[in-house]
Amino acid sequence: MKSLKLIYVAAFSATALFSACVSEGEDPGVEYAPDMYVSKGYEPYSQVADQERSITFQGETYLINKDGKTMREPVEGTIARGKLDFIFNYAPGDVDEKERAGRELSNPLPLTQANLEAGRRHYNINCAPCHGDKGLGDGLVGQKYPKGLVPSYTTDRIHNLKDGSLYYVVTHGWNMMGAYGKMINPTERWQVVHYINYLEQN
Amino acid sequence: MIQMNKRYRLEMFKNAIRKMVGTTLTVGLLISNAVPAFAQDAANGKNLFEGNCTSCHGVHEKLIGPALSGVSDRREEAWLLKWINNSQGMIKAGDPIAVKLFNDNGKQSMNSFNFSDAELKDILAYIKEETAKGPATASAAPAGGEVSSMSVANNTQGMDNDQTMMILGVLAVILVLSSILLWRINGVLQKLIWAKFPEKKEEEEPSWYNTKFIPWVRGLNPTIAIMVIVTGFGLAFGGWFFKYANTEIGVQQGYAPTQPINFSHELHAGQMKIDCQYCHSTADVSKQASVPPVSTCMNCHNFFKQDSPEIQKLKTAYETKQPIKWVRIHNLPDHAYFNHSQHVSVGKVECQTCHGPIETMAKVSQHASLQMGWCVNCHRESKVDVENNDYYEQLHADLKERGKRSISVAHNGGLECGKCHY
Repeated sequence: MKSLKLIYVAAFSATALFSACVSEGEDPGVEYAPDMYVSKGYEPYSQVADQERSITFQGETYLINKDGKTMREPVEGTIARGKLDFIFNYAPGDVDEKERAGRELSNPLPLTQANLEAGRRHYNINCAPCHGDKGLGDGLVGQKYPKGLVPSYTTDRIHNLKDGSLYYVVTHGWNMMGAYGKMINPTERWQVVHYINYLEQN
Repeated sequence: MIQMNKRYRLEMFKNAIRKMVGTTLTVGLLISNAVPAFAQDAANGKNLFEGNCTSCHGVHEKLIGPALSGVSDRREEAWLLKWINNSQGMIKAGDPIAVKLFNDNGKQSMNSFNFSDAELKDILAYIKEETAKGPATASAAPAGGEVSSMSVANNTQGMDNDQTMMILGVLAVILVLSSILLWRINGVLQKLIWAKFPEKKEEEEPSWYNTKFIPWVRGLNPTIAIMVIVTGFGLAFGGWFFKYANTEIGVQQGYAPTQPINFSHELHAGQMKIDCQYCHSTADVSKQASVPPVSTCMNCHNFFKQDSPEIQKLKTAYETKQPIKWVRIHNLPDHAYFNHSQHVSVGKVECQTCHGPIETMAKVSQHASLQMGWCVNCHRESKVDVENNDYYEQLHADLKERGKRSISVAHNGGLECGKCHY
């Protein structure tokens, strides 16, 4: 009888032990050398808020970053090397600024097949969810907005926008539309402007 | 008679008219200013409104600007006419209502328009008409409801699965316990029968267990027997451990942690068909497929599902500028190098090849094992498309010279140790 109980206990503990090691649901499973997974180095998306990664200076303890992020926000008003074209001196959300951008800026990229193709790619990724792949304002997300909120590119209001104003809207957003300057870089934005013009004409 | 009849008819007619006027008045009172016919042309107003105003204003919902239902009751018409055509001028002039409106709506200035008074009155007539119709006809309401009910349905389904598993487990335990109980009862009853009728025991045929197995076991050499058993167990355990170490230790396949915000790829990528790179925008140019900043979420969620508790978390994060602590699922150890841009831009590998059917996952789990064998297999099997990729121009020329037609990633150095381990 005693041996029988022993076997039961052994079987139960074995199942418990083995099943605990399998990755599933909340459990990532057993890690061999966890240091290799939770890196000591600062990986871009790791979040280090623990004291271990802090700096002690003259008796005061500083965390590497106050939010625990490894990524640092650029200092206000600075621009990284090679990113001069990211400078955009037009204030967001202002009609006059938008018109000024339309007057002062023109598309620096020539209208080539390659630029148009690239524009289409970025348009389909970033714009088409709302504006639709033909620019009629009928994207799957766009349809969920109240009717008329996402304009069609065929309307005069959009048709009369100059390239610079389009670039301004892509960069800063306009009305309900969010700013896309953080998601696509300046070259790609101008390519998208080319593609929007193409859609308007067709 | 005829005269009587005529008078009677007249009376009836008058009554009917009285009734009609009565009902009209009641209905009119009930739905306030709905029924009276407008001198203005609401249809023209509709066109103008949809062409110029809907980007910022809804009749029943607050967008950039306030909801416009009942605006004619709130403000005087003369003020409205002035405001629509020159709102910024009025703010600068210090009109108290104008300044208050400007401050209450996030200091967003409204475009100045160039409508004629007749056009403005048409627009106001249209808004009046829509106000009377009530928000039930607004297109956004059913759409939002539909979406939220879908995500709720997903949640309950998940719970159902867990509950089913638990119930099945309990039932299995009950089954095992009751069969043990029955087996024991059977044994006890057998013994009782034998105690009462000893001759029954002798009637039974001696079992194979008693006549053959027990004597055979007794005849065995105990040392050898134990060695055989231990070796058997050892082999079985070793085999299990080999498989376990191979497929489980450090392998996080199936890992599906709960995220701080209950984000559904099934809804966003599946039903709404938003491109993966809308959010993971750097997948084609960087080592990392970036996790989107909260502002990306707010591109749409400044309007959609404002009341959902999950979106409230998002808004709090946005307003307090606190990063959301997403839990990382796919994690390679430091000694293996992986770069998204190589695979997405040059290799033109679909996201789903490694991440599985992500557009069907309400909660993301790790699809692939991310083991080296898995990487290497794909490198062996994938053909390099040298023809349509400028990146391989030189390689393509060399291949042509040697008369080769196609190569796999492995031929292109995809199996070199230093390619990933350095």
